[in-house]
Formats: sequence, C-alpha cells, structure tokens
Amino acid sequence: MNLELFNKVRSAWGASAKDSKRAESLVSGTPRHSNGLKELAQAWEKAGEQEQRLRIMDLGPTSRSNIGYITGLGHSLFNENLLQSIPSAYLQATDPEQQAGLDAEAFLNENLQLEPASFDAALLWDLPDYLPEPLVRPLVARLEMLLKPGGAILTYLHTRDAGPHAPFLHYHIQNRDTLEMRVGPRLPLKRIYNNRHVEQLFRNFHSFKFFLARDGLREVLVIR
Amino acid sequence: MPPTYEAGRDSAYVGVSVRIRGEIRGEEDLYLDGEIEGNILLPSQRLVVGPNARIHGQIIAQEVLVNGKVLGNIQAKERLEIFKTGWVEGELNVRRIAIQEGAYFKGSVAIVTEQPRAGAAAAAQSTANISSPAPASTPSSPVAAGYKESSGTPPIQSSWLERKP
Repeated sequence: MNLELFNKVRSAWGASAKDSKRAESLVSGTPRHSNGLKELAQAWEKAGEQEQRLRIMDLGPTSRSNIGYITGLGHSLFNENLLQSIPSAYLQATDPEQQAGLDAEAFLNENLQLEPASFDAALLWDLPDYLPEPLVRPLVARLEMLLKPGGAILTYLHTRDAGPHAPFLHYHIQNRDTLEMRVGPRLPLKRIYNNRHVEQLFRNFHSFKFFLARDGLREVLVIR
Repeated sequence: MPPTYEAGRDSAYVGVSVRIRGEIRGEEDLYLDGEIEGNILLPSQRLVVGPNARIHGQIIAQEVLVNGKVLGNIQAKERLEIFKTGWVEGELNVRRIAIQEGAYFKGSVAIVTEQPRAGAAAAAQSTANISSPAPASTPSSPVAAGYKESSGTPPIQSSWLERKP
C-alpha cells in the first residue's frame, strides 16, 4: 500500500479508527458492493444479450475497467472527465463568490454539446459534491436534455458521516455489482446533499431510488 | 510495454522532426513519431503512434497503438491500444480496445463486431470533422418500441428503463 497516500487521506479525515479503516480501504482500492450499479448493470446485461446497443456516458476520469466492462457488453461509451476541464481555481474555491465567475453555459457548450435524447445512462459518480456552485443545476439540466426518457443517472453522494474532507473518488467497475474506489485529486467537498436536496436538484426527473451504504456514501439512481 | 521502432522491421518510419500536412496512405506498417495534420489510411496495417507524435486527423488502420497524442477519430479493424503516455480525443470505432491506467481519453467508444467500412470513401466522409471531432451519432435505442408513456408524450426515443406510471 502507498503509505504516504494513506497517511494523507487519514489526516484529511481525522484520526478516528473508523476513518482510518475507510482511508485504508480506499487507498488500497478494496472492492465495494453497489446496489445502484447492480440495478443498472442488470439492465445493461439484459440489453446486451438482446443485442440492444445502449449509449452510456461516464463523466468520471478515464477508467480502463469502466470502458472494458461497458464495451464488453456491446454498448458504446462516451467518456468526459468533466472535473479535469474545470479551471482549478473554481474547483479549489470554497467561497461561493469565488466560484461565481464560472460561465456554466459556455462550459457545458464546450464540453457536453451532444445530441439531445441520445444517452441511455449517465455515470455521474460523486461529481455533484465537488462541482462549483454555478455548474450544478445547469449540468443536471443538460443531462436531462441528453438522456432519453427512461434513461438513468447514477450518482454517489457523500453523507454527513463522510466528514468535511471526504476525498474525491475514482470509481472503477469491477463487475455488475462491484466497484473499486480509489482516492482521486485533493478537492474540497462543496456540499452535502440530503434526500430533500436530491429531490429538488432532480425535480424534473421521473423517479429516484436511494441506496444508503455504511461508508458515508448515498447511492442515488435517478430516472428521467 | 509500449512498442518502440525497430530498425530493420518491415515498417515505415516518420521521425520526430518531420511535419506533414496532408494524407498518408500505405500498405505497410508505420511508426510515426512526428506531427501530421491529415488523415492516415493503413486499412490492413499497423500504426504505432510514438510518444512524440501529434496527429490531428482521422486514422483508419488494422491495429493502432498510441503512445502520443491523437486528436481525431480512430477506426481500428482489429485492435486499439492506448498506453499510459497516450492522449486521445475523438470517436473510436474498434473491434478490441485496451487502455492503460494513466492514459487520457475523451470521446466515445463503440465496439464494432463486423469489419468496419474502410478505405477512401470512409476516410473522405470523416475528413469533414478533422478540426473538431464530433461526438458519435447514435442510432435510436433499440428498446424504443417497448416504451409506453401514458401521458401521450411525443414519440421521442425511450430507454431501457421503463418509467413507472
């Protein structure tokens, strides 16, 4: 294990035994069960068996395992590491005023200008927790436009238990219900959503499904 | 391990200091480590994009191995591999793909199961997008026929997760 990274993550969280255990598991990339992924992946597998070709969007960093898993089922994948395209100053800023200068419309036109209603699913991972404020609602509106009716968003939102310094994570699909999560770049957690916030954020969508886990992440499956 | 150029191997070589504006077509393998603004058509051959290479154009080849930078669509009839120093932005149509951890990729990946259209016609068609690789145009969801919307929504294509009434 990368001891330096482990210590960095642990110190970011605090030194409690529980936090240390979680930090250790993230640094070493321990597999984690995901009910939200399981629900999506079952539908992907079924579609693949029926030779239905889906179009899936991954807004996280390039992951060879995600590409391999999704294309292995016969579906196509669009990958856009959205956070990487956001200027660092906006990502690091915690003061809303410092984030206000970000032109969401221009940003989304540059990075997510795609055919409307052309995607079956979007993997948002924990992106909403780290996005600069001006981008949050416009991104959700853009995803609503890009997804087909019945299309799904899978997101992993930190709960209060995760603590204020919960690290940004990289998510790698191992199989239909298992993710490997690894610590990504150090970014300040911008917000914590409760169920009501989530419902507000995705209020134009059709339905939600929440999966509460023990590791400080709430999985949310949103259907357009 | 990323492939390197082997002198004596039956493969053409374009070195670091070479800059090309125009199209490359060939019937032999190519190791390219320079800069090219234009399409590369090696329908039955292997293209190795060296670590110093900068390609701004479409690629059609049997096998494409990327260590450098490619801005444009790639059609690999057999295999595409992006190594950790590789940087690819575009639309990929490949039979098999492998991406090393650390490689950069932005765009779409579609796996083709039959031989993709090759040759000049396909290249000519894709040349229009050289300066800005467009996202893949996706066929309608094959599950659209099964979509039932009670509210009489316009016949927009639906997805595989049916909405509850």
